Amino acid sequence: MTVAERAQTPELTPAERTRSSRWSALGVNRISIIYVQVATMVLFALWLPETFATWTTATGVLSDNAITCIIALALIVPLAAGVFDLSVGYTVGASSMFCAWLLGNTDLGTLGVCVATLLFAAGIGIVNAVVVVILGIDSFIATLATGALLQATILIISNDQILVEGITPSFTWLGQRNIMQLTVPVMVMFALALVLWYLLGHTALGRQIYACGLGAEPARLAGIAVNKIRFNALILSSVLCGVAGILATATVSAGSPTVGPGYLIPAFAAAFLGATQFRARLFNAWGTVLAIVLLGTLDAGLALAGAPLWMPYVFQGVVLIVALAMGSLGARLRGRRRSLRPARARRQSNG
Amino acid sequence: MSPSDRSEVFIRLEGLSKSFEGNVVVDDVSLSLRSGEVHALMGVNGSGKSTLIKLLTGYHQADVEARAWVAGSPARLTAHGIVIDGGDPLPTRTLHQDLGLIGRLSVADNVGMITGYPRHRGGAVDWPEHYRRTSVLLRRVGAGEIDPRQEIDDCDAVQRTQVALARTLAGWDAREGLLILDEPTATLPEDQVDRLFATIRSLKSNGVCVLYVSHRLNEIFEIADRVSVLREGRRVISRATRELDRPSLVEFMVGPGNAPLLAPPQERGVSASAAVTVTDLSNRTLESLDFTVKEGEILGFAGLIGSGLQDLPYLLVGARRATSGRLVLGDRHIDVPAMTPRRAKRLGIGLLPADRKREGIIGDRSIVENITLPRIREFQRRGWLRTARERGDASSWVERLDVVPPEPDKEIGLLSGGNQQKVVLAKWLSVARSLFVLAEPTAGVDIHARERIYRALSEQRDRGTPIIVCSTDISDLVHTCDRVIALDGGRAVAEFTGPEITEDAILREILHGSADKEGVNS
Repeated sequence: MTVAERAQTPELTPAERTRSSRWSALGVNRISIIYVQVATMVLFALWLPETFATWTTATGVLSDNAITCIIALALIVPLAAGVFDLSVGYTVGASSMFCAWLLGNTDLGTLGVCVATLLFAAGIGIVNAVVVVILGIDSFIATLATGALLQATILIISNDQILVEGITPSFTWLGQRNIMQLTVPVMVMFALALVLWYLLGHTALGRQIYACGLGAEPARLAGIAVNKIRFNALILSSVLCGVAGILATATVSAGSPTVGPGYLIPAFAAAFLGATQFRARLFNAWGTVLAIVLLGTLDAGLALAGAPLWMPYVFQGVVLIVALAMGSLGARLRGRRRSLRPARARRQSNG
Repeated sequence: MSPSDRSEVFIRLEGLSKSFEGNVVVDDVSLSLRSGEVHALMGVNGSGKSTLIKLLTGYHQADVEARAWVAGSPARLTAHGIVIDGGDPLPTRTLHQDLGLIGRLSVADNVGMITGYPRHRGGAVDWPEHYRRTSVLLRRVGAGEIDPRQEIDDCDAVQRTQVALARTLAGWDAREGLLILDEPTATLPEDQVDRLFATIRSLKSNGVCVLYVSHRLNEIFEIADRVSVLREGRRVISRATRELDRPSLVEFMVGPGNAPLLAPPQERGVSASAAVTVTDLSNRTLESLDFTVKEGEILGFAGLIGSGLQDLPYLLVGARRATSGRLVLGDRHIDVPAMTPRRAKRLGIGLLPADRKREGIIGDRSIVENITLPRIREFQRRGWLRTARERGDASSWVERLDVVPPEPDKEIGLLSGGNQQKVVLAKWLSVARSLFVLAEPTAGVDIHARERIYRALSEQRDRGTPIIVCSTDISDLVHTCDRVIALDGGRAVAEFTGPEITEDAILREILHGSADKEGVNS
């Protein structure tokens, strides 16, 4: 280390370092959504003390958004590995429809139907993976294309009709049964978030998945099977969408040809909003859940307040822009501070 | 008599100097350029050629104001290039080595990016007129046969250079101006160079002064009227080309065996047994290469671009596909075409890749995560990643290689190039038990990091690991290697051991080797 280099790096004592990392853990940059969430809840609670600040509202927000959240969680694995899956909405729709059709047309029973639907979803995932990884088509376009094929599948199965036949309580408990008003989809959502938190944040495989997304070439040279990871990530996201499809059919007790595609945008928004939280610039499970909860709370509060129909969309858009701008502005400000320092040092050495 | 002897000195520069952070890169250089001449600027890597050009174009400012004259009247070097006192800037155009074309756009669009488009009154582009103007520009550089509607990707290498040259010259009507060509033939196949030379000769006959940068000796003797050689920032000579021959030009470029910057490796006994044997290694650039590396030996490979040097390290770890080759590692026989990076890692073969930014680091992540990436599974116990152990392991590497700042949690993208390279070195040192392969180990690295990297290599050699260093920077080889093989056209053409390893000897071999081969072809 040269004298000049040493002068540029202020030495921190270990105690200082711990203190600074503890502060940054609570920093607005890392968990801004929690602050916004608390502020939102306080505001609505003061505004609507009778209706908003209730257990029913809280569990309502969760169960209304659990399926969207499962889809957003399904997305973060391929996103972390560096591939888009834009077919998620259609995969949910096709799985939901396939599931409803099985219930009306076969005697597989609840478990059998679920297994068959998940296999069907895995098949969709394999098609996506073959197109993206083996044919080498850019995932953004490739999964749009498979999405179109899935839309056709939905219409073929449903004949553009809502399927209700055979969807009995022995199946619909999957969407409607609850413990203290927490429904099965909510529990599935939390369980899935827990699993993904462990997988992405605390295993070697998780580290390798992120490496594929952040630097495919260094990852490949490091002996990581980038293609295999991406292949499996696309299958995993489809299977999780299959889970979401089953739960969607169970929740509304029907297979509707219009269910599915509408989930795409909110799920992507939540995944990207989540990536600004906890683990800076990495897609992660709890950030995604938080993002869903915040957007859901805004929705519910405004609905209770009797706001006009367009209002929640305005809030959603504004929250997304503000949160993402905070992330990128923060990064740019940090970058500027960094780039200033060596520039000053250079000027001094020249002068 | 050649035209250069008749013509007057057009541009005269004296006392050009430039230093960066105390390092003198261009040192009191004087240069005289005549109109209607091709003036070659030569020198090995790091001799100051590109800095000198950047001074002329105004990209860099000289340390002290240089003295300049254009056609006899005093002038100054400014941020706009050479400006005649009380007058206009001297028309100067530069064709950079990488051309800057966009492959998927048409020739006409690539020209239009620079020249703009003619328009109809409503504002829509007048395409027929734009194609016509593009054709006129192309004809000026002798490339009238190129269809302006053609995509750049469908043009051959010469056509691309011609398109870039045509748009560089667009709107440039100067009979008396300066055209700087920075290694225009670097990406051209040998047999296509003549077509480009015809273009250059026709510009020259219009009175343009061409400053031509290259290190291909043959070309210089063919195209240049005069030659200036830079060595370590100083101008060594300026002479008419016909007063020079190849050996004397190489001598001027290389210099009389100057003292090495860093201490040469010490003489040591290398064990006699081969630890690694490679036979019949081939791909599209290498032709059936055979070599061995002994335990505790650093073997170097030298060569120019296209010699196979760039592929060799990647083939050994399976990062690029070999067409044939056997690798014997201890008692294991491995088929090189079936090698993958994953398998190489398991065998204890590490590769430090050449392109640090694209292949070496994940810029967003910490030093720790970058160091442990290939070995991340080793830090998982009972299903959980043990980050404390991981951090401890990486910290010891940070300490061992003097990474600055010594903060393992820092994003690697924030470090200097030299310190990033130390981290990449640590990453692969930790993997390379049985063979360590390095490609361009000191590219874009400052002198302190360079010295530390060399030391780390000799420490690793002393532990007994066989090491292969492939570098176009010959000082890497001089400072680390026990033995050096010079490559040319995919084959080994010379081998140097111990005291024979000098910058001179290796440079002579790779420059002459290619010159001889070209001589045979022509």
